[in-house]
Amino acid sequence: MLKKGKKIEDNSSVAYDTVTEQKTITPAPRPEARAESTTIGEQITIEGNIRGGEHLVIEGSMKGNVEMEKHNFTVGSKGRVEGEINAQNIKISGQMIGNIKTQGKVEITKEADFMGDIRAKRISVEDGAYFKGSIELDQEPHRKTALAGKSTPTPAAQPANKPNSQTAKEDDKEN
Amino acid sequence: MANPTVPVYDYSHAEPSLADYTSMLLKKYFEKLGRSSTAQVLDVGPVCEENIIFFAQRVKRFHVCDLFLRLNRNRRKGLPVNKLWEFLDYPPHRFDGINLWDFIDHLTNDEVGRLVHLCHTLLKPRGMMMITSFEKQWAPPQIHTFVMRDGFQITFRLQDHLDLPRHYYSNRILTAMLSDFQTVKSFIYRNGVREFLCRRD
Repeated sequence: MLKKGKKIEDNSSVAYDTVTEQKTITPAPRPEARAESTTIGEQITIEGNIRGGEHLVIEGSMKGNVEMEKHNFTVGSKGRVEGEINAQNIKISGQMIGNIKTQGKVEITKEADFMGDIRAKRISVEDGAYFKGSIELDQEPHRKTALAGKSTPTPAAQPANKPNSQTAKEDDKEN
Repeated sequence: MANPTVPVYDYSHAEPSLADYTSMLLKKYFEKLGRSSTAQVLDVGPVCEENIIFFAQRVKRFHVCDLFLRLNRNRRKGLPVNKLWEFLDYPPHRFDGINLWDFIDHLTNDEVGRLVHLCHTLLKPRGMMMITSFEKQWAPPQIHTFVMRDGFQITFRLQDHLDLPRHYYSNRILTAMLSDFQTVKSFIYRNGVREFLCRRD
């Protein structure tokens, strides 16, 4: 069993925490609005799907799909995940293979080694991240068409202090 | 008589600087990609957030396979460059466009030939390949990302985690290496950047 708000370091601590809490602790009711988080520690390996109602951080190893549409999912810098992820916001700092779907933001940090396809509303990627995959940004249907036809300002609109960078020579071989 | 309060600069020993510029070629590239609402484009890096967002907002699906980082890693580990091509394991005729930026400047002649052949296979008929390359005297010693801004303005960002040797190919050699393609447009800018837009027949 995973414990809310506790970092699980290894199998023995899982058993100890579970038994202790069952015998001696009566959990106080938690406010609904409080964002709980579970961390899967470095020494934990999970195989199987997860459906969650709180934020999840993977620092260990996980193989399986994650479904937590209203909560955040994080692969920590030591984490290794293989599976499909559907979460509110997703942050990748470790290794991940699999596709990502989110209504929110995907954040890939420079420590990440990610291979998979991303469908999201927003994305941030740090320089230096290993990334092989594809990105599809969810937008209003008219947005892509409008952007594709966006015109370019004329060179006259460019900063006056960069005069040397403008086109010097053009070779047009278009049919 | 010269005003003594105005400093006199000597540019004769100045390092070449990477001046921003507005890419005429990218505008053309997008005009052609924009005709297809299902366009898929592949970029071989370096990974750049601004470019990802720029392209992903304008094409159906934007693919990234950062070969700069992988080439860097392979060289550090002493792995052959050929291992690099295993990452381009996409099905043939997958892409409407491929962005090579200045990646060919870090490959040998043979390696460029292999990459160009692979790109030819991966592109759809009439698909486009965009290449940038530096003029020899303007090539920066370190690797920089070509960062796309609104209005197709390009700025440069240093990638100091990458350390790759740089090669220089003249226009004549480059054109010969791209002989499987039809060169649609090419530009040379005063900051030393050369841009080539090629089309697969």
